[in-house]
Amino acid sequence: MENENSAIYQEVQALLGDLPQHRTQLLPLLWRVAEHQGRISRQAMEAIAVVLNVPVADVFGVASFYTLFEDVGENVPVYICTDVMCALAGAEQLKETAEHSAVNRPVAVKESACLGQCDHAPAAWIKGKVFKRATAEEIEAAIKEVRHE
Amino acid sequence: MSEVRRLLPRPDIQSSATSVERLTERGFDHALSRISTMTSEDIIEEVSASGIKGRGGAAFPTGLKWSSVYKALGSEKYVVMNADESELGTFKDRVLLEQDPLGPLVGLLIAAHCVGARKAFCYIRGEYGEVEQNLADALEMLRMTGWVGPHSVEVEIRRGAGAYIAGEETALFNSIEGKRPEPRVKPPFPTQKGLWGSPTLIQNVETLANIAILFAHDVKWFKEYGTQDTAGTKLVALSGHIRRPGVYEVPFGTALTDILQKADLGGSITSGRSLGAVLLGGAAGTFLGPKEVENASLDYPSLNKAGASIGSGAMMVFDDTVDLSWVLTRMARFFAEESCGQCVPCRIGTRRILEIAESGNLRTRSQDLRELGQAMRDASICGLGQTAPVALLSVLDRPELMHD
Amino acid sequence: MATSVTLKVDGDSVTLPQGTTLREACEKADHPVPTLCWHENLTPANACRACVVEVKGSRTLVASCSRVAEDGMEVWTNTERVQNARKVVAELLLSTSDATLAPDLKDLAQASGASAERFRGGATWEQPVRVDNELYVRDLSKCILCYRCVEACGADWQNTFAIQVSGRGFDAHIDAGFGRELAESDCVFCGNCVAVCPTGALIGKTEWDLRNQGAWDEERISTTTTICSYCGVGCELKLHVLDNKIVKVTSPMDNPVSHGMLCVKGRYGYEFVQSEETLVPNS
Repeated sequence: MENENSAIYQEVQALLGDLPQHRTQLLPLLWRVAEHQGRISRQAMEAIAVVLNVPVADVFGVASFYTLFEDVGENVPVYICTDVMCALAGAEQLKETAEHSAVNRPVAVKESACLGQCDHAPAAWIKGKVFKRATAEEIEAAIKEVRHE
Repeated sequence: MSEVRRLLPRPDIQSSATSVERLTERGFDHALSRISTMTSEDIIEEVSASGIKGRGGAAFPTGLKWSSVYKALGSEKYVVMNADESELGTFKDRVLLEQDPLGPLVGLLIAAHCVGARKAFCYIRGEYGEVEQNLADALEMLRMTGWVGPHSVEVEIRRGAGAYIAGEETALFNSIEGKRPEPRVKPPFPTQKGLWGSPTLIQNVETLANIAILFAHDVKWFKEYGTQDTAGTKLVALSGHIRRPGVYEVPFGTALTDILQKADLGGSITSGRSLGAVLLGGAAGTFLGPKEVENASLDYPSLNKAGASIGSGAMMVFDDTVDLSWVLTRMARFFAEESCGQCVPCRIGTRRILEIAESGNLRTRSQDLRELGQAMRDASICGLGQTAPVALLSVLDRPELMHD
Repeated sequence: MATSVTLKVDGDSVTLPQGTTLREACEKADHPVPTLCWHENLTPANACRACVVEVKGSRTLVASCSRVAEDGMEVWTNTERVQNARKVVAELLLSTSDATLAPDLKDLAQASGASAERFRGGATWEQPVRVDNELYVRDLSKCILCYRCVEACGADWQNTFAIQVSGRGFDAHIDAGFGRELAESDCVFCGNCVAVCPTGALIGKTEWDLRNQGAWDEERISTTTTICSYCGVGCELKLHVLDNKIVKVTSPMDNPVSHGMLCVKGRYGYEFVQSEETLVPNS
């Protein structure tokens, strides 16, 4: 259990910044932690629980609901949309190429639900950037660029 | 009938989407000035007279909703823009917010003014990062001009994190409150008990854009397009085997064939093939065969006859080579993965439909699927579970659409 | 403002105080509806959907546990749609969870004519039993996600908030956070979650051991009512005794002091009663 002296607590408290110290800020704070640390670790969730005075089980319950907070460890998630319209436009091959490029790299290729880019299928989503009419070359290049910050 | 531009700005518009000039050019500053001297009753009357219905899919009369929130007792009231667009095949709100974020925002401000809310939220899906930035820029401009702020209405953007169900209005409230985005039981409806138990007006992006253009003009202007039943225009999102996929604004009553075929709209089926089926209204929509498409137009009564609905305005187009059981299997996976898991019919039902589809038994187990589908429609808590089997059932009712 | 409402249940008129739920109205009208997740002392979770009824004017069926009765409502508890929904709910649960210790689910299945086999063969919730403490066991293969334990641990009763539903969809499950063991969690071992579990997914360790040994025999268990001796609150205890040994302690749900809740001492601190060691005075 993280206490108020731990480094992660200090970091989460700093990330809360101007936001009120209240449960309603759980989702925004989870986002700030995810963006700052690249993931939301167990220790970070325990610290969030302390900072916002929310039960730890609730923080985990909420975080584990959302796909974009899924813990892929040290890896960077690469989302390839494989829903109907993207699949129709060859998303499966795109995913296979991506998986091939991801070997021995800090990347986790994930299938994504519809990204709302059906007019530019197939689509991918990497670190907040949308790839429209994504090509294998583009995704491969993006994966090769992924570095640990 | 061809494309019109009202909700979407003209393609040759010069001003930047988030600028003060745009506010003027689109008539939105006029709309805001106009409503600031109107009573809430007068605003509601004008919204009701326009006949605007909710554009998120449920088509609930907007004026009635506003009146309900306005009259509800409560010291705090909230308004919410629902931009958590995550339904398969649906991307119209994204395009609208890319091209003209001020429309929906001005609609939100009008709504807040009308029902007496001091705080508004824009809930946008986490994968729409660039759109969110556009919305934030537009908001910043409105703050500079004083339409947004502590003396009028505060607007906060909330970002979702990958959960289709968070777009369900009560699940969205739970998400904002920092709880699991599981839908709540209705009644009580959001108009009476929404965010933090207070009366809350929640509207889809496109609905709010309709409000903005209505007050930038008037009811007579608004009703120049559309049918006797439904005035105005609708954004349709075309995708799949169509030459010109994208979002188009068309008047209600436009023939579906025109939407698919016209050179300035869909521009016909790709590769010279013929139409196999259209999934109309999004993942929770209905499959229509070529004959039905030919006879239907984009209007509630016309589509009712075919057992379909406009839904979000999504039109997913499949040529005659596509195996619909493959499409249904993909869709089944979407629902199974996006179910929140709260109620039994949806949590387990969506999983069983997926398993039956994956094992290739959609046809042989049609009776089991009909009973399961009926139970899901009847007994699920929210719209996700209630509509998850609809597209599947529509194909079971049209066996000619399924290849063997 | 009217203080009572009159509605029709299966054609029979019934008058009830305002604020009564449809479930209660159906019971009063002698047309009871089955329930799984509903519990007399907890907020309706409205999750199992076994209690749905048809209400005139409503597009979908209505969960009677959480819907408040209104004047002039017309309710049907046994239409074809209601029967189908109940049956499918039972079938879906039977296809997923182990109903061995779930009498309400078994009753629902029997009454609705559910087939345990119809939707079987796919994914289930079968998983290893978690025995990580000496007081109670988590056998989540039996869970039906009724939310009772979460509510009992949370604002309804205990205000400990040690457990919550985690994950989503078919993977949603009860979790003390990160899948961790109970001793690592905020759990205070009051066992109030165990008291309300309708399926044996949460079960006392003693009962669990005895069942595994084939030694648990409801017929031979006698009960004795007493008052808890630990503190001044005065919770009523029901001691379940097998072969002259206490094997479980509960508190009656209708007890005005405890409402069925106990603390860790009342529920699990009974070993001293049957200790072989006698207290020796200091000399």
